[in-house]
Amino acid sequence: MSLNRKVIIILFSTVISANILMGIAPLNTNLGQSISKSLDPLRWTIGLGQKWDMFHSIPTHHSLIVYLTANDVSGKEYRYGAELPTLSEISPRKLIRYHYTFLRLFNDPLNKSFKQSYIKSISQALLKTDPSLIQFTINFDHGRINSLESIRKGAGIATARTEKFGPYKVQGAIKR
Amino acid sequence: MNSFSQLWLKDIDPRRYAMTRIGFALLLLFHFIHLFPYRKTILSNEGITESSVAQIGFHELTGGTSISLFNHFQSPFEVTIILMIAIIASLTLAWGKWARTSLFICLFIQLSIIHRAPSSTTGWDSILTNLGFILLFSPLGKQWAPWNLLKQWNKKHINLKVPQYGLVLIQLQVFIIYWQTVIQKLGDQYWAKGESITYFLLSHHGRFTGSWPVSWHELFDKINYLVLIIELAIPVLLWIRNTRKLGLWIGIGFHLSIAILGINLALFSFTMIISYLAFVDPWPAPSRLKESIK
Repeated sequence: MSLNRKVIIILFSTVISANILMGIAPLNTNLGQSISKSLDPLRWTIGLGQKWDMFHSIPTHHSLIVYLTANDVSGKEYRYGAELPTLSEISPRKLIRYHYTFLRLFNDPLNKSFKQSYIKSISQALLKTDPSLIQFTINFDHGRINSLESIRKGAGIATARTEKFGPYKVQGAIKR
Repeated sequence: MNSFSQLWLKDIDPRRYAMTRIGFALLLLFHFIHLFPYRKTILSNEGITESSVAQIGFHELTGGTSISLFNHFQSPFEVTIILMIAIIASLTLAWGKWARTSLFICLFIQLSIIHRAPSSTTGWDSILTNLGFILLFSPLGKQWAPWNLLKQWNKKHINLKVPQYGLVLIQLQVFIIYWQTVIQKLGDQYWAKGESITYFLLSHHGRFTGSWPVSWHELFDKINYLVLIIELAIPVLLWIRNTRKLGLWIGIGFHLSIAILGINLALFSFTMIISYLAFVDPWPAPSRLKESIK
């Protein structure tokens, strides 16, 4: 192997290993945050992000159902699924990426752009489906797991709670 | 300096790279197939977001610049074609034909998916890009198609040797994945109180529904802490030649348990198991073999 090739391999390995090793500092520490702030733009652009938080926070959802309710001029309510482009019902339990997607869109302010775009797209899809619709609401039926103590006392596995986003105007996507 | 350069340049059997390449290609194949049902919703302009918004959103989330293919190919038909190209490229990567080009295509498409839909990513998405990036600049053992590798599996010596840096980098990455996740878990109340496994099994991830995990909580409380120890131990056990077999048994058993007890987690488990290939050495150099026997 030529000397040049050896030097290139050592340089490449040193840079990549330094990036990997700096990933040991978790993002919930000051050190981790400062490393992340300076390196993340490049890391995520080329695919070398170091965010390994799998199950560090335990899921507290027993179930999650996301659906839309839309009203026409007469006030009559219709139910639609939250999937685009077909507005069909989705099962986040079967397709896990939808579970993450919807929770991130509506619970994490960093995803604001995606949330607004989703609302706009839903609005357009509803108008296409039924031009008489005037407004819609996005509903999250959360099944939050109860404390282990209360499950033991017979409270059931989860408590259902519906969180509503909207109503939004169909097509305009402006909150009333 | 010499031992530092040896860490990267030490010669190894190229079949180790071939084995890792084939495993990684199969992983990519399953991953791209798994993405098929989501493609219109998360990757096309008829789905959740327009690509122009996704570019802004990706920058807001990561500070990075979106270089996604899906910024240019936006219709459901085009997205489908790109995913089909990814599936074909993962097959040619496994075969060893045009291996580097195939890997580049797979990596770029995977990176494009993350850039287009960062809100829809899972834990294994980033593992794929990290391992793919390292392999892209490493030897790939491309002369070994799967059937050639099987035919010559028992051959003790291959004259050709290649430097080990690619596999060492993957080993390092596996180390950091496990250790960072444990450090983060230590700060979480469910892990600290020993409730994580019970909650996990009660959650939407649990395959076997019902309140049965509550009755088994005393056992799961102990398993909770055992999991943390296992995650710390796996990379260390894999690294040391004499404990590698034990590390493989524990690691594979651990991830198979996750895949069986949880739903939608088989690909994550498969990803971690495939990453172990970087540690496996079925063709040790004679000197190492002697040391191991001693």
